[in-house]
Amino acid sequence: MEGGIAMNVSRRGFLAGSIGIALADQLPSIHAATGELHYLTLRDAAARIRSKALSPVELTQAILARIDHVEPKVHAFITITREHAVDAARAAEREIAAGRYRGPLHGIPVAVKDTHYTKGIKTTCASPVLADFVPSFDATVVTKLKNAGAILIGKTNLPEFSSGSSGNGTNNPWNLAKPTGGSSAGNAAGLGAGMFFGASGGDTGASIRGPAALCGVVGLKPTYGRVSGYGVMKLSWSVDHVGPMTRTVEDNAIMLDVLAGHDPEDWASADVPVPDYTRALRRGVRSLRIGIPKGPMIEGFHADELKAFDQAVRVFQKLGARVSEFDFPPTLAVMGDAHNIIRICEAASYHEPFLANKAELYGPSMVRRDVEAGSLITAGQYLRAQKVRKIFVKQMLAIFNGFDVMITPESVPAGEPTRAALNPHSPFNDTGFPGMAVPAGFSTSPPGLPLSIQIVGKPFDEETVYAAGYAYEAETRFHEQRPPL
Amino acid sequence: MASTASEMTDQEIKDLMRAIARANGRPLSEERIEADLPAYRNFLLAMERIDRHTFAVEDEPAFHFSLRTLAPGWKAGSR
Repeated sequence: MEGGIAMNVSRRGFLAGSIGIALADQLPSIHAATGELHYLTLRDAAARIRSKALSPVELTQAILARIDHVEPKVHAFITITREHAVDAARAAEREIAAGRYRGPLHGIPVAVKDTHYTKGIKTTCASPVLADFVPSFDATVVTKLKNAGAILIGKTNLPEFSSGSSGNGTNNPWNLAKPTGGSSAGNAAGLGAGMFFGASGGDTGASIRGPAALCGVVGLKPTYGRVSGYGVMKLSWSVDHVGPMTRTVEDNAIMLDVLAGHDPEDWASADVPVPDYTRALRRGVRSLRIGIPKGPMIEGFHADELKAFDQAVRVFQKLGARVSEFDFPPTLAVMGDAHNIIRICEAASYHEPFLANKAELYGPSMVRRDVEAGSLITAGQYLRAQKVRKIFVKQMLAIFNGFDVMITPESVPAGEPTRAALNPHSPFNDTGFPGMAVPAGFSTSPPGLPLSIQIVGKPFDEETVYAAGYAYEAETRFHEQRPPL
Repeated sequence: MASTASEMTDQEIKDLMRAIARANGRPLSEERIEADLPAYRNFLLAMERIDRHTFAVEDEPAFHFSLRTLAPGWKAGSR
């Protein structure tokens, strides 16, 4: 509301503060360029805000205009926090004008998956069970984003209770008839469509990396415990990961710098020092030891994806990395079953209050069926699955002694079946290793859909993951392409 | 009575579901047992595949309860 808050700093004043009256008189040209603002990188938007060449209010208004334009087609949001965002943007503008710049997220519109508690803002998990739920506190990652000065633009769409890989009505910005993947569907589609600059999502078996891959953006599932899960609705306590989604690798590192860190409220949170992830970006990959799965494991991925993967290997080799093949351990064959038992058993426990009091409210998805069936798994069965997992983790750690990172194909393009032996996602939820989806080109059949590769690192070595991703991104520049919205 | 999940009839699995739900203190209606049967059967088949592995007594589950952060002198950021 324009007149509702005393404005100590006008738009002109904010801009005039550092670039002089002459440039401030060019405000109309800045407005004319508003159409480009929504596809700035987070880094570039931050640089403009820091130099006061761009106001957080202008940027937020540009984003809201973009949302108004494309949201009817993409359906990325469950809740758009329009008034909240404008108020927060004005507050950011005042702070920055007064010299209190908080860092690269200050004044930057971001979104969070509607599993993240937001104080005073409904948080539904896309389920009728929680249609009226308004949390009384923020998730830790939401608090961190707010403390960094980020502007919460909305809560994004997902399948009911994060269950499954559907987009639940969200459309892929690259082809509106194609799926986004899930469960962080709204995050990925919204980023691809230029509706925000960063997002926080959740990944239990693909849910950050899968939709990031299908929508041509960057999604990091960090090391287990790297980012607090406190105040984020659970699918499975021991397999859930919260992580950043962005359009570029550098933007992702900027977000992880803010989100990472120990949280005493989350007993799974890792008490491990947080490095400056942006410092690691430009290390390069010369002599980096990269492991790729042996051929038979990845036969069955889409032909375009295999070509993109092969080309990615060549790019890394050209940049000086040393690439060699590895075998997954034999336990991989049963780890998928163990993952499913662990996931659903923990989900069933999480859902007990809902099943006891609101069972009839579950939507038409398979969630109620799966968690009810999961509630019948015995403790002995659950523990055997967790024993398999421990064996698998030890075996994967031994394999990783020979590499610095691994790269795998992703399950793309959108809507095309994958018959590969390898599930590229859930093994790295089970081990807790960090994994990042990075754009890797576009399909030819069908045409124009994003392709992607996954870069996997050792525990708490997101720095090397980022260095590899940044080098690859700089060489290929696929992230600069825009969907035809 | 069948000894493995892959040999069990629907009726045997439903009887099992009914008994476990009662033991769990969360009884299920016949309608819900019918609806949940396909998912539960798949979980039993998954366990059948897992149980082909013989565990050593030293094999531990992949979680550990820890009170490390409550140790005297612990502070955030310490290793």
